[in-house]
Amino acid sequence: MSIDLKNKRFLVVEDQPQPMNLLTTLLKDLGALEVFTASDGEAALTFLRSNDNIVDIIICDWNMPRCSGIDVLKFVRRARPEVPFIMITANVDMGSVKLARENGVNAYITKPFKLDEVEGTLADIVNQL
Amino acid sequence: MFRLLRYFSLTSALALLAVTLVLAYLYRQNAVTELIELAERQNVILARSLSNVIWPRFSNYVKGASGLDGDALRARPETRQIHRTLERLTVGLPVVKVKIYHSGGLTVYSSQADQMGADKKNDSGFLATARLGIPSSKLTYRETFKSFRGTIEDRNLVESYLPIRFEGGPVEGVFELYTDVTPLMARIENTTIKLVVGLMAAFAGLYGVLFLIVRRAQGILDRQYRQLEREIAEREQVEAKLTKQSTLLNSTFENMSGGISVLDADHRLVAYNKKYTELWDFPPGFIRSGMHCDEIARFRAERGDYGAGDVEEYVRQRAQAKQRCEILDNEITLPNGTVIALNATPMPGGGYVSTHTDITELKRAEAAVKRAHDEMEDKVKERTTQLTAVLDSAVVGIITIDALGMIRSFNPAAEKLFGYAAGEVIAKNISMLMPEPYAEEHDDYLARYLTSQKPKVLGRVRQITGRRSDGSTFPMELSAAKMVIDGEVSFVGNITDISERLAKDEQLYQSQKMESLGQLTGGVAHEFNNLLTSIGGFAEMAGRKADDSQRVRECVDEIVKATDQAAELTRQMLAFSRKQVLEPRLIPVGETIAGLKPMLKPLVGAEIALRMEIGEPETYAIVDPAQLTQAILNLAINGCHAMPEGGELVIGCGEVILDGRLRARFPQAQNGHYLGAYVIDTGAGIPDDVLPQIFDPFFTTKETGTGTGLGLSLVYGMAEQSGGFIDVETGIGKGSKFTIYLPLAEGDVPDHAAALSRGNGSRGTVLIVDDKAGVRDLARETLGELDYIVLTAENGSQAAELLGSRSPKVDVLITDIVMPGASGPEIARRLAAEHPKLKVIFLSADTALGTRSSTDLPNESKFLQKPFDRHELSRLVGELIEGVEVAPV
Repeated sequence: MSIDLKNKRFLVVEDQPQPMNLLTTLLKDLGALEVFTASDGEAALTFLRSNDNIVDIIICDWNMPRCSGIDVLKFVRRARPEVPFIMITANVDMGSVKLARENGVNAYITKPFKLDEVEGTLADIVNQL
Repeated sequence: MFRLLRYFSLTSALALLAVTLVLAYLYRQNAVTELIELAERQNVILARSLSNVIWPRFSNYVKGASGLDGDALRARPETRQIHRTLERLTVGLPVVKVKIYHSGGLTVYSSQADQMGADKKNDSGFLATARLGIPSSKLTYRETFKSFRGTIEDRNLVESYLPIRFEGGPVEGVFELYTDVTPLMARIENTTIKLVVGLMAAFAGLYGVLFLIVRRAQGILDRQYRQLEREIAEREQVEAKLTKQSTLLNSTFENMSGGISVLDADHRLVAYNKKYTELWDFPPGFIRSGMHCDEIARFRAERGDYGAGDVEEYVRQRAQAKQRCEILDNEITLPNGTVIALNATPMPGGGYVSTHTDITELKRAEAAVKRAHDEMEDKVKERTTQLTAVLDSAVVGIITIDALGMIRSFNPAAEKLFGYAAGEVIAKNISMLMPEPYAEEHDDYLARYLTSQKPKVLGRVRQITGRRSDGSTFPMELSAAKMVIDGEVSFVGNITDISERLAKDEQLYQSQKMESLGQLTGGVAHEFNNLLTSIGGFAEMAGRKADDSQRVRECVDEIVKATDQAAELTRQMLAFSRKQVLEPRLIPVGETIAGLKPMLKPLVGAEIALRMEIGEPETYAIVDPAQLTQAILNLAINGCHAMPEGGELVIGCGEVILDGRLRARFPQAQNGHYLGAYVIDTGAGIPDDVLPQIFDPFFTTKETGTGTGLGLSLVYGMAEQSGGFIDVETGIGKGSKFTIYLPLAEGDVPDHAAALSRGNGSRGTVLIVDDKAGVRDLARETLGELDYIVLTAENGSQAAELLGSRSPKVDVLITDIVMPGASGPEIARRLAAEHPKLKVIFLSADTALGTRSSTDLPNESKFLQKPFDRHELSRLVGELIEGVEVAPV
């Protein structure tokens, strides 16, 4: 699977260092133009508020202290409804999936994930843009 | 008092002085008179001689000089002739001056020329001599005097008028001679003084003798006087005393509560008091002094005091009794109901003093006391029966001991608990019911308590170990109280076998732990998913970049990091779920709580920020570490439930000094330092109506299936069992803070604990036998760091070899139980036969072994669960080598 992320800027929101490291490494390997990181939801919101239109795709963890992934999703849908939002989470119950869908998530990846799975999801989203 | 001595001294001294002066005066007067007479006689003779010389030649001149004045006389040659003649005639004589008078009084001549011509006719001395013709003399004193031979001073002179007549003829003229008698006068004065001194001396001697006599007389008089005064005073005192005593006796006699009568030797009444007549109810005027006692006996016989018999017989009997000095009626009840006690005392010389006492009330009181005593005895019997029934039926063992620890009573429940019949233990020392070392310590403790009165056991419930007749031991709860009966100290102890309760506690604790585990599972799964993501992801990435060794290494590093985290998480979970025997011991609480972080992190979830506040990791308290862990987890779980929307959970501990609020709320808290372990959430807070019940067992606000309601009650129980307490501060919308206060281990305990944790630095030798190299290495590393000498062996034969060749002894053998070839216990037994002091720690991954009774394992052995905690290993080794144990609470 080939995927072109050359012009894409990403925001990765993740409170755990290892998944964050894995995702940023992967995105860079895939040729992303820039990868911004936020270690929790609040940091992500602060970043988005002060950097209008800078991010093309958002990859966000669900469970984080203070401000969860759902909160970030709700904000993005209000402020930047066109920006694709991929939720990555260890929550595998149907209730969580449903809640994310209702709030307009573009894709939902459960942990632990395969790199191919992330790449496939990204490819689908990029192709739809 | 007459001052004889004083008066005598005064009057006799004055009298003797007066007599002395009078005698001296008389003597002097007499001597002077004699002197004058003597001088006069000499002058008469001298005058005759002078007249014999002068008169024949100058009689005419003298007689014819009448009418001449002084100047004329001094101018006459006869005057000069007379002067020269007299000067010559008086040489060697005491005559110092001569005058010649005309019979008419004219001074015809004077050895002092200026006096010539003076008229003396009115001079009494001249007149007496001129008229009567007799000499006239007197003694005079002159300070200065003009004599024939110049002026002389300080002289006594006899001045004599001497008639000049011849043979009864008329006085023709008068001579006046001045004779110097100064030496004679001086002798008279001298003699007078001597006389006075002599008299004075004689009188003084006389006075002295008289003084002594009078003084003695005065002394005798004084003594007699004082004696008399004393006798008078004594007599007055005696009289006053007698009067007082007499008044007192009379008053006493009359006012005595009992009657008194006195009979003389003839048995006649000589004295009696008012009470006597009142008591016997005699008619007024019947009793009188002098009446015979038979008369009284007759009256009483007639009245019926002695009964209804013959009056005369009664009287006769009493008269005879009196003769024999006997009393017939010691206690008499009168017809009016009065009871009188009679007592008679014979008097010296005959007669009696009798006392009559009204004992009516005393008799009534005696009867009442007897009734009360009977009732009391009945009640005591009843109570004793009840108490015996209570003791016999009590489910708790009740034992009483005396101050020396000897058993006094032993109820059936105690018999059942200890397996002894009461008869086997009564009068034996209570220490027979205790295992060592408590048995040995008990007598010391009891003696210390009796001297210091500082109780260690009294008034509180304590968990101790009891020893049955078969030697087995069991945990029991003891509450003891002191009794002091008739000044004798004894103690009563209530004993409950708590084996079952402890087992239930254990069960409850385990079930609670499982519940917590359930809570943990979700969080752990989430955490694991994160870790697996990393592991899987980086593994995949490494596969993709197999030709880029740098990238592969980076990926592998990430994988190892995540794997380490996963391993730590697993270890915590295993440690938590491991079945352990509850054992409170000295632990560093801060360190223990800090160690929970990896497990707490998944528990709280990502929505809640976890913050640890460990003030001082090495703060020690005596508590079961598993229970403490469970308590903190329970509080953390509750805190998370209180924050469904996320928030902050703070877990920490530190040293605290109790403030007034806490002391008021927890009066059982002792003064001093506590260790506070707390869990703070920023959740909803606890409503006021719920707050009082939160520590009740089975109380829960959670939905069915999410909580048992035992969490907080277990936390509460843990705090209480550890001698502490739990406090909660909460506010609606603000969150809650739960704090477990544990008594801070005092004194040298922290050092002691630190020593234990270091292996006590006593550097013994440890032999580790395990077929797994990993276990051997971990143990070697752990104990090696603590400066123990560590030997390792793969199996029993290697171990035996090492022990045989080892000259410094091996202190502790650490061996796996299950190994190929010889098992751990076999190795231990074999080595212990040769090295009896060898101590053993058995290692096993089989949790069931850990809860087995120690009797399954050789003596002096400990059990350590695999995988073991390094701290736990070093603690056990230190304990065995040093023989120091952390005392249970």
